[in-house]
Amino acid sequence: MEQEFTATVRQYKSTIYTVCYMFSKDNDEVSDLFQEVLINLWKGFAGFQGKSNISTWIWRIAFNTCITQQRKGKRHEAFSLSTDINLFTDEDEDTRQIQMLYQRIHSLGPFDRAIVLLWLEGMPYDEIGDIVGITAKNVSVRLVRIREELKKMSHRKA
Amino acid sequence: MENLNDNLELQEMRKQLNLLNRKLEKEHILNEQILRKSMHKDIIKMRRWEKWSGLAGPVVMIPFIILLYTFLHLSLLFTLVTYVFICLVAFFTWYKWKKLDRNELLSGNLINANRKLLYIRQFNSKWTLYCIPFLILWFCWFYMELKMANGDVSVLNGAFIGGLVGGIVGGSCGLYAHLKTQRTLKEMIKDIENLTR
Repeated sequence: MEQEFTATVRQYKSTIYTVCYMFSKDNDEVSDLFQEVLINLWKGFAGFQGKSNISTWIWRIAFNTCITQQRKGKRHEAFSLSTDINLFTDEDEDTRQIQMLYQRIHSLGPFDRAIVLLWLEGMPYDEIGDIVGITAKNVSVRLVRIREELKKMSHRKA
Repeated sequence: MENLNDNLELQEMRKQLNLLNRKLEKEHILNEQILRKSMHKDIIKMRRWEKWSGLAGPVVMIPFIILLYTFLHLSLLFTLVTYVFICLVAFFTWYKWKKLDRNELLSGNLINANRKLLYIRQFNSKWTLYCIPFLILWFCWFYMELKMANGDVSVLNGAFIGGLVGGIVGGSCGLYAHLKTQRTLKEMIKDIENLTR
């Protein structure tokens, strides 16, 4: 089971990292959240039994962990992740683009953050709704609202 | 409805997310240390223990039941009703924690989690509503049983005072735990409602 788990999280490491990044304020918080997501995935891995799509399950656990951890506001000692990048402080052109994305997504509420991230990943509305717990119609309505909010934000910046 | 794909901000954001994904794919991110810490076996053991410890109550209470029946000479019916009540309390506590399983809440969506929390809160309120009258009746019955079974006033008074003190202390602790749980559940429900608004 351990090998299977390791292979799964390796496959979805970018997904988990992206969610943690969008819910964090610095690199330490990303490591902290990443570890918390892994612990929750491991706790539920044995009971998962393919009840839903594995990627849907991972997205849900990652979002719910990040949202509940934010609510608790507690941080514990976490191990550092094996990465040379710091998406908060690096200054190359690619990272600057990513930081723009971060600022836009981070300025939204946690629930809208999840919806827009899933939409950007190219997920269909019904799957997004399945992950966050609302109907596909509600997803589309919320996305319209998010788009307007993003538009207002870029107007303010301009 | 306007096509969302026409929106420039969202188009740009999608490109930026692809860039992030490409960047992250090149990174190792995971290492032995973090994987080992996450897969600590104690986590699963602890979960199993948490799940089943609630059901240990009826077993622990067996000596108390034997004491009621043999030493205080209380009736078999009273002893059985008391034991059934203890079993029901243990079962409902286990059922409640099973519903509130953190992993299940995490692997479900927030709307469903909110529904579950609301259900547990209502369940707790109803359970308390039925429990309090039952405990008052039980205590009156306990006093009558004691009076019938023990002619000796000192034994009667000792057992009654012991029962009364135990009842007040236990009842207060139970009520405090109940109110605390209800408050926490209310906060969680409110938080989820705020998040999904």
